[in-house]
Amino acid sequence: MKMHKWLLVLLLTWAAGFSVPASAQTGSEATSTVEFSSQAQTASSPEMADVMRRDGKIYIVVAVLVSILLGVLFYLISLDKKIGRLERELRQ
Amino acid sequence: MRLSWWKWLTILLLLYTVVVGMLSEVPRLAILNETIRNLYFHVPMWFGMIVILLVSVVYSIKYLRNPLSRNDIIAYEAAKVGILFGVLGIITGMEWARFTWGEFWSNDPKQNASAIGLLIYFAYLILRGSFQDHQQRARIGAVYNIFAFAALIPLLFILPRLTDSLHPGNGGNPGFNAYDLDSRLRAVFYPAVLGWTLLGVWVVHLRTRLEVLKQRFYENA
Repeated sequence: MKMHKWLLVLLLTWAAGFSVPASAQTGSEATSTVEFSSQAQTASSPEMADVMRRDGKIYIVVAVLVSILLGVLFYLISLDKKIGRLERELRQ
Repeated sequence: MRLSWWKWLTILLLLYTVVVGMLSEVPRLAILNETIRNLYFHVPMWFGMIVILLVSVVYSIKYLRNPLSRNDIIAYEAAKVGILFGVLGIITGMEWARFTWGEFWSNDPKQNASAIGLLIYFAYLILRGSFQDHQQRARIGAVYNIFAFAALIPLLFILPRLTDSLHPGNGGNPGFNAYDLDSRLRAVFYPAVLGWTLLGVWVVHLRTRLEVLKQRFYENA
């Protein structure tokens, strides 16, 4: 049991070590990307959903995805609880 | 709610993946366009599959050393969840391929190899199902599982790299090189891999407990 916890902590620090400097870099890049997107229409760069993210209702897609994810997770949690209750009953 | 900390972590990481994965800036690449975001959903299926199948093979080896039925149950349930992740990986890959490579199935070496790998694992399920005797089923299943995992690694990680492939990181290139440089993708990709893998571990955890309960119930009845 203890080894499992150590393994998870190790995995976590690994993921955090990669993500933290990465997100810090994203912040510094943010200003330059704003300028870039204003020129996006004129320049022949690959088209991306810049406008879509601002007012093209992408947030609705995010809301739908989050709802589905939460629904599945709540289902898992309720299953978890039901199995836990059965385990307790069988132990008695 | 009283949940283990790693289950809370799973929920947190998956919510982060969906929200930040959809809204954050991504590199502007021709052909791929916004589909680059599939990196947060398609690729973690395969990473998760490998980790969960590794759990399965570890418990198969454990069973062969110490034939507890709990070891066999974990190996079997983990293999099933691993296969589910693999099937989801192949379906999402086909959807992605249709709109970037042009075809659902273009006989890409990695596509073919992962299909063969999955077939090997389907055979594991059939093999297990064909034994009446519990101990025989568990023992032969465990041995087969070791061979299946040993076949899967070269199929997914070595053979596709020896030829040209549409998948990034193949045809002599190191792992997904072009994207690896981009820190914006990494900031979501690594949490996504951890989150989806933990979700699989959660399902394995639940199914194992259910199976153990079932066995104890029939012993008492």
